Amino acid sequence: MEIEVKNLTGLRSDEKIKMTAGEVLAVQIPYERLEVFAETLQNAGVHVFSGSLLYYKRMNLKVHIEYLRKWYNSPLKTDDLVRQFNITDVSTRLSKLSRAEIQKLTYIHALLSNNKHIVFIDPFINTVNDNIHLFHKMKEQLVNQGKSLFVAASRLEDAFIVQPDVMKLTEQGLQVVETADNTEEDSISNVSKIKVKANDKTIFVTIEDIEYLESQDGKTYINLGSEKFVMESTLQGAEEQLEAHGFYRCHRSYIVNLHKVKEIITWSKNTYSVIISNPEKAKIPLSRAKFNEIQEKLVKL
Amino acid sequence: MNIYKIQATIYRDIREFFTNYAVLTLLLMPPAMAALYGTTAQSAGEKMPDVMIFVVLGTTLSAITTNIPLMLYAEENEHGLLKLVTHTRQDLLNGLLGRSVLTLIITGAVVIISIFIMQGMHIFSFQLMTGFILAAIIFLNLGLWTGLYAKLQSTSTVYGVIVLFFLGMTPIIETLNLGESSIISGLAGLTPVYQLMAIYNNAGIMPYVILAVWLALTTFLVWMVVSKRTETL
Repeated sequence: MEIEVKNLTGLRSDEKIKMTAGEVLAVQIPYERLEVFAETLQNAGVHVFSGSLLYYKRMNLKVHIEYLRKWYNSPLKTDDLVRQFNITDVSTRLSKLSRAEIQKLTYIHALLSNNKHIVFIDPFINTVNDNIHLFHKMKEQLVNQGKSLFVAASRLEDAFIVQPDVMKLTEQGLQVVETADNTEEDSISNVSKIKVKANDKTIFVTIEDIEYLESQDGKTYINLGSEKFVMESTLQGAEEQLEAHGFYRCHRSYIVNLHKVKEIITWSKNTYSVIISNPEKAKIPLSRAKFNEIQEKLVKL
Repeated sequence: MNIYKIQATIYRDIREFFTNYAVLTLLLMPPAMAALYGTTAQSAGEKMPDVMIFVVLGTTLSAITTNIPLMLYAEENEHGLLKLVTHTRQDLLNGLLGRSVLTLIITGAVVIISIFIMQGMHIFSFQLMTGFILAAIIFLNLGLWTGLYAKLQSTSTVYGVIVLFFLGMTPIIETLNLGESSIISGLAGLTPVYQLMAIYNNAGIMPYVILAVWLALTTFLVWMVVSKRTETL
């Protein structure tokens, strides 16, 4: 199935997004374009799962699964799905269940659907880690079923939860997320603050308050809790500048403050995340090659 | 037509019927009325007037055959639930067919129970059965039309009450002694439940013609609303 990029961006482009059987695409799409994206793909006949959980509040999970199984005439068995997705409470009506429990139904729904093309939009917003594991389980099964899976995430770090190879939707079409450039920068040590820009102001940020840095579109962004600033440096430069302060380059496009790391989660054999200890529990992608090294650094910190 | 999708809809709606208190109340309404009228007639030592049997029949048609699909669709529209599995016109029609089959079966069961309570089985003949089946499809069409049209549950209540009072309980006008020349009686004489009374009183072919007109009109309305609703799926 092919989707024309011009329908998503509204700009002239000959590019097309190709959804191929048995393949997974993890794509960062700007939040403001997600609605148009969902609508376009739905009209193209793709089964789109958006963040809203649409289910019958008076029925329980087992009845829902059985209903969906019957509707799609799926060969999968209800009891197997209940076990596989760790559904412990099958008798309570949905109105009394938590969002996390109901979310499991969307994964099961995707498996039961007779549509060959499945799209999930921002599946990791307001979710729990157990469900991310179940999402990966579903992903593998969808691939085995020969379905194509397209995960659209408004946050780049969420796209990296799906798989290491991530793309982003630009006006030109789908582009591979670029690695940070390796421009040489002067190393500065023994500094406690760094200079960032916010509109016409120059702000000096205390280094220990920084949670993580990310590189996007050739710019380096500093994340401090709910605030985000542009840094006047490349990621490589920032790495050299901050290394001595307990910062670690955990991914091509991310540097994390080790002092703010809460835990590391393994989603699948190739996908890992560093969890930041902030209210959102931000999930920062961790490269496979860095998995052992970061642990050593965290132990010695 | 997809038999699996029709079966799945029936499976889901059966669960919905018996966990939704509003639907349960509607299901109990005709037998409760039948019991009330039956007891009143019995305590007065009188035979139940046939017109009361038709009041219960009309109430069953409007409260169950119209109001149940109306309420369920209105709730699905309000919460966007129709989009859970319905993505094409074909899906919408399969769901509609499943809900219709179940509603008609439940209507039949409730009518038999209610008439049995009122000891009014004697009114049924082949002709009346034919008329009743036509009337049931007309009332079902009204429920599907208004249900797919209603955006909110609160508006569905208004539609439901209108059908209940103006089309379902019309035979009660007979007890008001308005006279045959009254406009109200004239209009009531064109309603589907009145045609059932006319069939019972051997009024010839005319009641069937009026029912056929109702059937064509309501089927057209359902076809229109299905086309309109398909655009928003």
